[in-house]
Amino acid sequence: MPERKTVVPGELIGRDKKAGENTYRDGDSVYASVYGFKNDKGREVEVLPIRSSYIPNEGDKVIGIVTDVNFNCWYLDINSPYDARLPISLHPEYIETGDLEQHLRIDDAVIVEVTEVDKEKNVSAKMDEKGLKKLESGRIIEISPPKVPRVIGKNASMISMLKRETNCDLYVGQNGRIWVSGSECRVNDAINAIKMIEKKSNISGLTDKIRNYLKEEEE
Amino acid sequence: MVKVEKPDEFIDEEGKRVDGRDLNELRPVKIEANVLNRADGSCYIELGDNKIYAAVYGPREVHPRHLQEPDRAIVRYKYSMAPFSVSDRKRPGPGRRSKEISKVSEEALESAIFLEKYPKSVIDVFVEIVESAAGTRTTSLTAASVACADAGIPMRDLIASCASGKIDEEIVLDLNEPEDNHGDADVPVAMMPRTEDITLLQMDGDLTAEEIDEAIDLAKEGCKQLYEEQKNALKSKYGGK
Repeated sequence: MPERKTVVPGELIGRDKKAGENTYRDGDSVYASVYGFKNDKGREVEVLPIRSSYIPNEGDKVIGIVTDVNFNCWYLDINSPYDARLPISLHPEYIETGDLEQHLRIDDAVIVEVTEVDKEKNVSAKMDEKGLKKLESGRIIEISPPKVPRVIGKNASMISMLKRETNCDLYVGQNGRIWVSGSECRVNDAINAIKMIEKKSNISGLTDKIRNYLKEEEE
Repeated sequence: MVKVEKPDEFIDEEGKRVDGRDLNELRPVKIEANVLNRADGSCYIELGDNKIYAAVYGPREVHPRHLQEPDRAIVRYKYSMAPFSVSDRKRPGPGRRSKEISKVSEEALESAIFLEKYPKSVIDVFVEIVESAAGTRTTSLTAASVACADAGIPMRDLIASCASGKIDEEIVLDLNEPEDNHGDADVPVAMMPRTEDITLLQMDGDLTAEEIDEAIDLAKEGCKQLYEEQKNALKSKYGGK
């Protein structure tokens, strides 16, 4: 990963270029709109945020926690300013109206997919597809959402290494929630490793460093 | 603590002020970003004897619901002084003065934020004055804007803010406590340094039209110096320059 320049909101980051993510244009110039790292892609320039809250997008798979149960739907907290609505019809099982609490209750955690986000940021989710399920055991930790790609790594290199080294089941939601399940001490190692990735996300060669750390911990 | 007495003269023969500063010199400033663990973004600032923490939470869901705006985020700014921040104990809680400051600061900060990016949400800003020595509203805004950037909130620019004023018939930058208490006028200014758009402008005291222009220009210079410090505070976190 090349060294990237830290920029602050309002800083000039390019001229006569296309304004990418987290930037804005004023005349010919492009300025950063968030605090982060500048990423110059030649014709386009963008800013990779250091911290930001999660804004749901269609197709994202996220880990939600039930906050409210209605007569025909559940409301999930998805670590975002907007709650997601999971209708009864998109639950994998057939449920009679009024029986919702037998399947998911307040504080239950689920992996869901975001199906729709409208203009007013009303979020809908579904659970009736492969891989989408209720989480019955294990632990959930939260990291900053922009760090999610780093935890997954290029071609999922980081996450598959974590799974291999710790023998844990891991699931990384796009919203920065990570589910870890396995033997107690290895789960702790995995969580420490993830926290390390979050803290040192701007360092190159991180996958090897984390692997060494996990090997040491095992001994 | 002692009461701040009025000095015999604010500016000595050499043109230095009571604390040895030049007329257009800021007090020593120190800014640190990301100091509070549980906040989404935070900042600690020292300007002279002022010591201020700013914390930003959000964007998050609005409670109570009726404050929600369907097309944009709202900003809630709370300026609060610790009881021990001034020489006489300040009665804790919101008062006439802190409510007014919260309101004008909220509007000053709001104008730099891309609110339309987060409809139906709220950005909560809490500013706590731990030690106060003149110019807290401007110093708070400087800190609050760094805290917002630290929280990853999209903004047009940072907000830099400082005051200028009039003492002994001279326009000076960044009033300290005796100058603020016994001086002739005080002009707090907040601006977006890139475009020099002013987002907050108040005046307390008497100034002529020319003096106001001079005071605003001087305060702008101060803001630009503070802006450099703000940038440093944010960039030094990740080893950038």
